[in-house]
Amino acid sequence: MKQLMKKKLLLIICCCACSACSTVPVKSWQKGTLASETMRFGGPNSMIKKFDEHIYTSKESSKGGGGVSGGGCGCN
Amino acid sequence: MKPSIFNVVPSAMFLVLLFLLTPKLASSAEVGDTISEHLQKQLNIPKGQVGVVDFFASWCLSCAKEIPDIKKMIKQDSQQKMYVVGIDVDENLDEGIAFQKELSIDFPVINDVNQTIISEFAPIAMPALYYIIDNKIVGKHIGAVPNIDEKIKNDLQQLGVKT
Repeated sequence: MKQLMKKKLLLIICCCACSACSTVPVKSWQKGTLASETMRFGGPNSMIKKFDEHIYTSKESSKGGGGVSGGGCGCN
Repeated sequence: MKPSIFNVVPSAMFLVLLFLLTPKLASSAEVGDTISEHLQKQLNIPKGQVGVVDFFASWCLSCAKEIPDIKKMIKQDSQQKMYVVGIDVDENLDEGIAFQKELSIDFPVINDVNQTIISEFAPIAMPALYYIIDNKIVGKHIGAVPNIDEKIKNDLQQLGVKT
């Protein structure tokens, strides 16, 4: 029973160690991809964002506050 | 009692896991550090001039805002006390060159496509600007700075350089 528990523990640790989780932070100069248009909600198509904003305005009777300043470089 | 493999291996695996989960922080270049010989050759800052190394990229909006101010600053430096060198860290060379053309950058620019130069400086944010005198970092600005030209002027005065 104890052996089985140990094997299970070993298996869990192996799975964690070999998982795709990365703890390496993205460096400030590597944020080009994150800053690209395709990373925005709706992608490069601005109409999708406008449509989403229209739904939000209709439902909430409020608008604005959906933008993000800066170019994703972590400088603002 | 002989130590079983199942006693040793989990402990070793746990230590490996801890090592993997520890964030590896790149040490950034600090004021007072001397730049490597390889970097000295690449930057090619003339003797007697203050090297102003500006890191930028096409995707960095704040960088684009600062560059016209830097250009203005270079024009005002009639005595050529400073040597501005731009480091474009765009991974795509074409995008970088198009950005440089768009902003009509007229100071020397190194296209750091492999990002080796910026990896040595390792700033925590962009844009990043470093002052280098005699291959030694004497000052830096990390992140967006409004009216960077005025800031550079003040910094150079504090460093004893009259522009």
